[in-house]
Amino acid sequence: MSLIEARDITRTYGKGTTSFQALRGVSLKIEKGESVAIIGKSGSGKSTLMHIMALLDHPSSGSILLNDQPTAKIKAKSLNKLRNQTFGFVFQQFFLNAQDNVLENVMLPMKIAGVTGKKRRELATSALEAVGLEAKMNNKASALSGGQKQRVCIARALVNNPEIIFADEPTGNLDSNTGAKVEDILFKLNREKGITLIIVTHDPDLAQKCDRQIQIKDGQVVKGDF
Amino acid sequence: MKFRDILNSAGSNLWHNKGRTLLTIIAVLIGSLTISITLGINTGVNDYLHKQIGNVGNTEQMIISPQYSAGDGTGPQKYSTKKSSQNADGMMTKKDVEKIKRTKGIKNVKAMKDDNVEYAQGKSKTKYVINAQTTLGIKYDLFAGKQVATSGNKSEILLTKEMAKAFGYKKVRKILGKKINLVVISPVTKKKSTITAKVVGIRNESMVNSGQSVYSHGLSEKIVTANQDGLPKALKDRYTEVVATPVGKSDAAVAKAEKALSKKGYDAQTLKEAVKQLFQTFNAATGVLIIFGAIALIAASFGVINTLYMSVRDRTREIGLMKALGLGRGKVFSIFSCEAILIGLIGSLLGLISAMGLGQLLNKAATSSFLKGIDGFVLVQFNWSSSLLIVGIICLITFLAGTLPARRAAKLDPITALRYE
Repeated sequence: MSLIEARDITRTYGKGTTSFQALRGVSLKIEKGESVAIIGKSGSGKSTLMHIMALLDHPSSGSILLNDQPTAKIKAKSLNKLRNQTFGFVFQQFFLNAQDNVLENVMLPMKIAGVTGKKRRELATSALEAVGLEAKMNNKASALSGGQKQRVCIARALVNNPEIIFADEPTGNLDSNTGAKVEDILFKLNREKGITLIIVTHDPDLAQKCDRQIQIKDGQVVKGDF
Repeated sequence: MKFRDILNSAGSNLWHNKGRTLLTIIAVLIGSLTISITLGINTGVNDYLHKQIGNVGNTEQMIISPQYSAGDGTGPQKYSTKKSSQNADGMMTKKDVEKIKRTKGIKNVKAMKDDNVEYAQGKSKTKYVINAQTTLGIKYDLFAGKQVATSGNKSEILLTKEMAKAFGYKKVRKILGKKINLVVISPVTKKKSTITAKVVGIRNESMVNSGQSVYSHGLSEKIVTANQDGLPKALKDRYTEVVATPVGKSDAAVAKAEKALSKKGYDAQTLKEAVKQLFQTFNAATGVLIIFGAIALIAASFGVINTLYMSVRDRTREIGLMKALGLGRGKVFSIFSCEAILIGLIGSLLGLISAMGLGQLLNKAATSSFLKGIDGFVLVQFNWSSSLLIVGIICLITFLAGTLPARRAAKLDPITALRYE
């Protein structure tokens, strides 16, 4: 049994002569507790694949199975709940709300889930402890350095205790020192908490640190064991 | 997402864009202020009208006069049995009264004769002209004392506060029970007769028959007799005014009786209608002001749409993120609707508060100028139900204005929104 499985995924943008096929039949399986790098150049379709696996986008054909259950027919409401409770997201551009403080930013997924009061604060604080930023929780997000911002994002991804963290170029905007620190935190979570890690990157060094690499070129898997 | 968090999110976003929010709120405030103050005036005026009609009692009583009078000024008119120059001075004859009495739908027809008084004199001995009418049998709005007798031969009179003061009573209540003299000079024989009347009541200043003193039935008869001294019998039966009571009290019954009188050549107007007419102009004016307020609100609602579109644009990436993290469409819609409603709520409440403040100033200005001496007339008044209604309607309008931007936010695709620069 695999945690997440893609079966012959295609994704076409546009219609007729201007249409563009971003994915041309991708199949892969990811087991629980794995760390997997999806590598490829920009425009290769790796981000599209991640969006489809994270159920943010629908494939034109093919299907995504989560815990061996097909996801195509899940209703919008259940899908939102599933994403909120099963997935965590870390983006290259952070997407923190600059006006809110660090704690507020980390609490966002729980606000969406409808968790309130003391429990919300406690979970957010422990997530910040896991990334070593509990001292900064009352600072404004805009006052942090790039590396700190990305650690806040990891805390935000972590706070709902997800099964999978999707990281889209998590170190893309960071220098190698701070980038290394962010990577360490991600792999530590993978090792110690058993969170499945799916990292989209074009950085071969980061990819090497993962258990497995899946290379995408022109919308197809060209290298890797699937 | 819980309602509190939705409200928080909407509120904090409004707060983070203070300048923009304030300007939109001002636009809503102007509309709210205009409508609130106008409705306040309307409430004040109608409250007074209501009180007056309530005080007066028997307001269905009709005053009947000939249709044609010299005051019409519409050029030469053809003679008919209904219209004769005889009636040009507004006086009616015994024949007229008979005709009116035969009209269906009215009862208690009373014809009033000329009761001119040369002057009145009290404790102060100064002679005053007196403007008065015979009691119509209604309940006059009294400051003190009681109503005059509507039958019998008691000589009683109601005076206004001003008259009481003029007669030499600084404390106007002191005049109650005192006698004053009315002097009548017959136009024919020039015979001077003095009639004594007892003051039984003091009238409040009112917009209905303001400034008039009121004679009891008996006093009026004595004045008429003195007036007609030496008059040939044929000329004695001339009447200044005919009053009657409609049999049915409903508007339809009154209208039917008026129509029947009109066919015979008489105009009839009930006291209620006379009072209503006074305020109709007022209501028309307030109506126009309310339309201005509504136009201001429509303009403000475009401001709300604009502000929220800007808000959606500013927060596109945040919306994308929240949707990616599992926030449903409905909740996104609620966040922006809440923002719109908050603008409406704050704007309308501020407008209402400013209107209340302005109302206080207006009331002060009014009582010291054009409403001076008119008791019980508070120009601007607010009541809870209409105030809440205004706030509710404005919140509804801003909510409706907010649905366009809120829909756009709800429909945003998370991936596209996250890529938005």
